[in-house]
Amino acid sequence: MSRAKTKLFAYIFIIIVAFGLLFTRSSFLNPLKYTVIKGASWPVRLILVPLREAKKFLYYHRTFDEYMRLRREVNVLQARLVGLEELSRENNRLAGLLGLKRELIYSSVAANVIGRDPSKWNASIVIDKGSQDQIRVGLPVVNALGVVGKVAEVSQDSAKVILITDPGFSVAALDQRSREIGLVSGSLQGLCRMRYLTFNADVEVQDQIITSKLSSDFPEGLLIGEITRIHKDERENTAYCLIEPSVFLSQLEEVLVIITE
Amino acid sequence: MAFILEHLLSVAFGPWLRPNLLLLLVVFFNLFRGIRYSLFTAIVAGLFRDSFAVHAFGIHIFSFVMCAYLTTFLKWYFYRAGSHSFRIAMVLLVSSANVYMHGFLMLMFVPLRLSEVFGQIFLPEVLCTTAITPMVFNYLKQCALKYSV
Repeated sequence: MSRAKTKLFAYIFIIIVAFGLLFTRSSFLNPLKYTVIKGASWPVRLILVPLREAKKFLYYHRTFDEYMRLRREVNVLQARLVGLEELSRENNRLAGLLGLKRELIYSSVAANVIGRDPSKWNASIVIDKGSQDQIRVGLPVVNALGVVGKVAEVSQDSAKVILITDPGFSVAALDQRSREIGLVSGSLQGLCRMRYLTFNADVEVQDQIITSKLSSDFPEGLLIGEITRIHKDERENTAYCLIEPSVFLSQLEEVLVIITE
Repeated sequence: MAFILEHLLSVAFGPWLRPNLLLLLVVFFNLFRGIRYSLFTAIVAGLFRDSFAVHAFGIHIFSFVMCAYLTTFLKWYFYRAGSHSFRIAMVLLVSSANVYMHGFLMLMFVPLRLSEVFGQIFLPEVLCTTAITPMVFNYLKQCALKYSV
């Protein structure tokens, strides 16, 4: 075989192998992937530490104002909590009388964000907890402000989390005010989209969207975000809303993984 | 280094200033060192990107490899040695092809809206990558001469 032909075959072979990679089982390549992730993450984290510290120093006034506002808010919420505790006890008693099943209390694992996908096509982070910490694929990930995403891949000591703004993410959700049910998924805009709503669905801007009981992965009632825009399609007789996530996904440093049954 | 720089730019400037530095490396090695170096760069660059991605593994590798071939094709048939405008036009073409190839591959696994791909990815990435091409190529050329890559 001539040299030119061998070269041509080699080039075609590379295309075939590269295309074939798309359909290989992901777990088979996990060791290679996580080695690259660890290797590439630490210099980024190292450079980001002084940047973050400088930011803290520069935004000192803003942080102090925010702290004062939050302290006032905590006082108001603590006063409200007293009344709510009473209501909760009453609710438990009545639920017991009616024989309703109580909501499960889940355990959780705290994890640090050690990496982030810089590509615009995906929204994902890497956390420093893996299968040895009971992390499994599909577990919900949250923080104090609401839903962050769910675990997409797991290695022994780290895991990849698909964020709620990724186009591949979806979760059953409902409007907290009107109880309208829809499916929330991510988009390339960095926002979420609530779909499968009817044209006359009772949704309004600033309504809060929470996870629904219909979701198989997420516990009920976790905050996803707030409606910022509503699109209605008369021809299709459907509507969808754009949702601003409640979590600042670009500033995530720690998350909680909820360990469900 | 290009990958780390992309990381830092994404943290510092958000979605609007994210040039595809890895693609520029692939095109640079193709123009200055030939297809073999370019393919090697494409595979390594794709591996870095795909390792962080949550969807199908290999989308970046495949699209970078195809971009390396496309650069070779353009070089064979249209290249005028030393022409700066040709290099910029080539990066514009290759990076446009890369976004669309990537978009169509992603569509096999994830539901995407093409209008969003155009507005959120195509425009910022292609414009930003093309805009910084002369600067990056000059820098890479100096590095290549200095370290005789």
